[in-house]
Amino acid sequence: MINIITKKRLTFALIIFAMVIFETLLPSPTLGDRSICVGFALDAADDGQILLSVQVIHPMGGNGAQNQNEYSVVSAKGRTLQEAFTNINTSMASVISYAHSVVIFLGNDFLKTDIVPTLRFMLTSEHITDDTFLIGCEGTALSELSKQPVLGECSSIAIQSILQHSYLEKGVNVLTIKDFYTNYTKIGKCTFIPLVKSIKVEDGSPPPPSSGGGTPPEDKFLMDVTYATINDCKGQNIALDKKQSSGLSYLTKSIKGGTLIYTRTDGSLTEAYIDKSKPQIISKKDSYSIDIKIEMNIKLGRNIDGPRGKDSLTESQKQEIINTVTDDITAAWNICKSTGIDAIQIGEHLYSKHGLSWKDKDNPNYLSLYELGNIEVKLKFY
Amino acid sequence: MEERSNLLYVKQFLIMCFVSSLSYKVVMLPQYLCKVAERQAYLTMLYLMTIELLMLGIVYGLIKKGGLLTLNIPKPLKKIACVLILVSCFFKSTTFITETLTYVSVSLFEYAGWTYIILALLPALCYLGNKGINTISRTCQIIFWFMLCALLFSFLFTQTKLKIASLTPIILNGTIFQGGDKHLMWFGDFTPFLFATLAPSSKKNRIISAATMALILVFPTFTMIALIGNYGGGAEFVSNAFSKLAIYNRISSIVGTVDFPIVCAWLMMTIIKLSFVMCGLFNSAKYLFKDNGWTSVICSLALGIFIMTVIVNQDKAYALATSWVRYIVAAIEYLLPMVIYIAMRIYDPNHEKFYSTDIARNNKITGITAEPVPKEAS
Repeated sequence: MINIITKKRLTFALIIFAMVIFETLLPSPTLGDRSICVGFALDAADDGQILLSVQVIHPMGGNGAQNQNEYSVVSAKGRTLQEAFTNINTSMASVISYAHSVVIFLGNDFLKTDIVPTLRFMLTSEHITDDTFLIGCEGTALSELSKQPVLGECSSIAIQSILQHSYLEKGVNVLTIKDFYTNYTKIGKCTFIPLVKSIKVEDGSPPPPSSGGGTPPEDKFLMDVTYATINDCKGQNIALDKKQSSGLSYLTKSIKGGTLIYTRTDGSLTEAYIDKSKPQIISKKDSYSIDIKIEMNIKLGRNIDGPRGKDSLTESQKQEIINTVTDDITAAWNICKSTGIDAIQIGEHLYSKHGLSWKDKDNPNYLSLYELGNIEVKLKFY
Repeated sequence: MEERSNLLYVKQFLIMCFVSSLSYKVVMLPQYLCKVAERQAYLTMLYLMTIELLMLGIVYGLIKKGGLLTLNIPKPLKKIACVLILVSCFFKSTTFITETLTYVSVSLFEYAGWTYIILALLPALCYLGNKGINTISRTCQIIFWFMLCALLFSFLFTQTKLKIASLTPIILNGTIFQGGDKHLMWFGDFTPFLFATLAPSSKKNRIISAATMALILVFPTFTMIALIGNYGGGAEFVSNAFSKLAIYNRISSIVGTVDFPIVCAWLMMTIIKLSFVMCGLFNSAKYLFKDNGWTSVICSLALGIFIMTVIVNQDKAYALATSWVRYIVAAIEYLLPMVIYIAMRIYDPNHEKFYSTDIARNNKITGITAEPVPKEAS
């Protein structure tokens, strides 16, 4: 009996030993040897390579007393993203961990290249989260990554915060790595990408004296994410204006929030708050007309004269709101049709609904065949 | 001793079925199915799971009578059955262990080589497998609530954008069956149960059984639907489906690429599943060669050496699992229980139901709390 118990204990001890030894055998950098990447930027370098810039925080750096972190931006080139990652790792004194990257900035030049292999690498990488936000830039991604936001410690965290809080709002077209690839694998093989526009903030403080030392105060920026681009994933990247970006958001997602500014017949601007909006694309078999139906719950703005409620607006005032929404949708449709970039995913809708009986599935220019039919905006007031 | 180590109560059997069926159908398999059957892959999963459940019904009918080794069928037939189960469990173990090694070495650790992981994994699997199905199922019972909480946690905190339109149009074409044909290795894993002996069930257990069967069918299919609904055509690039789906929770920006509750739950399920398959391997080897612990150790070493020297990486494991070997394994898994059942009806038509209290009474085995014997048995 004692032998059996001893034997069991010995076996158990051996198994535990094997598990402990496994952990100790693994080479594992300490926290001091690590840097955490919070976001990175991708640009097209002049020599055809990818310029990768990473915004890193060193866990052991910064001013702990003031609860401030120390961020730095480092760059490296590579023919592929993997090579650029390797070049950055080998040029830094610490191991960079990418698992906490929250935003990836994509430069304008980079968006005009074949972006699919790079984004596929990100999707399959175990070190990058699939719900990392993607955001396009007007200029270089590096310059956007390096900008100091008005609020927030660094641009990556600021953009993540903005997108997380406003992803359901009108005009904000949020895209993650997963969304990109989902869009790319649809019939249209294209996508939209949100665009960030930085606005420099004048704080009104006096300029620093020309002598006497000290560093000049850093410029601070507001980050506007209510713009978008449409991209055919083959090198064509078209920037949309605010109206088109707004129309795209009506068509591609359920909206919960956002202000609708519309012009009244007397020329004055008035506002309404979108409580909820849901799009529906309607198509008939063998018809080349696409109808759009939007159900929208509206809360009226404070500058509406008289009592507020569903009966407070006249028919013409309701029509003004409908016209504003219709104009935005038409603008988004027209830019998609003229460029052949099906960012609204009309092709996917047709294939999903009609299956193999949809004859134009294999026609790359199918969008040019279709016309925007009736846009029905159904308003419900609160 | 043999009867005690392989004795199962109905609840244990059901939990084991759930864990055994689910664990490796939510890792690499969804990605593989999506590569072949694209947006129809969930239909592939659905029909193969239905077949698997039918096969489970036959296995249930057999082990209710006492299992392979207690049946009064010719010994050569038992030996042939053991050889076949040995072959099937060996290849299944190879496929599943390499998946675990890949996940741990690639996703969980930065610098973990297969050697280190297999050093930790094999002794534990050898120990559990050698102890028998009873020990494995008791361990499974202990961790079951944790697994359930982890699954519930992930479900409650998830914030995915499930697009049902990604699942349509439903086109019943050949790719659905091609996907199933190519990945037969991942289905029908219940032959190790043939060495178990099942205690009789009450009516209450029958209701739970039906609910469990429904869950076994629903979970993997729902995982496929969730994956395709989330990733659309990109699903074919998503390895470790359960882990990727779990990260879409409200705290993903804090925890990064790994959702620990679900990973812990899955790792526990993995240990249960692997030790269960290896238990089938050990029991066959013990029946054919020598009934002692060294047989299990030798089998484990052979498996470890085969993986480290022949398989080497996930691509080779996949190539082996999808080669002609899959037909042999599928034939064993699906046809063997039927053959044994027919043999039982021919050679042992009056075989009585097994009652756990018989063991306690006749063999004076202590430490087992028998379930109440149904009225008609007393």
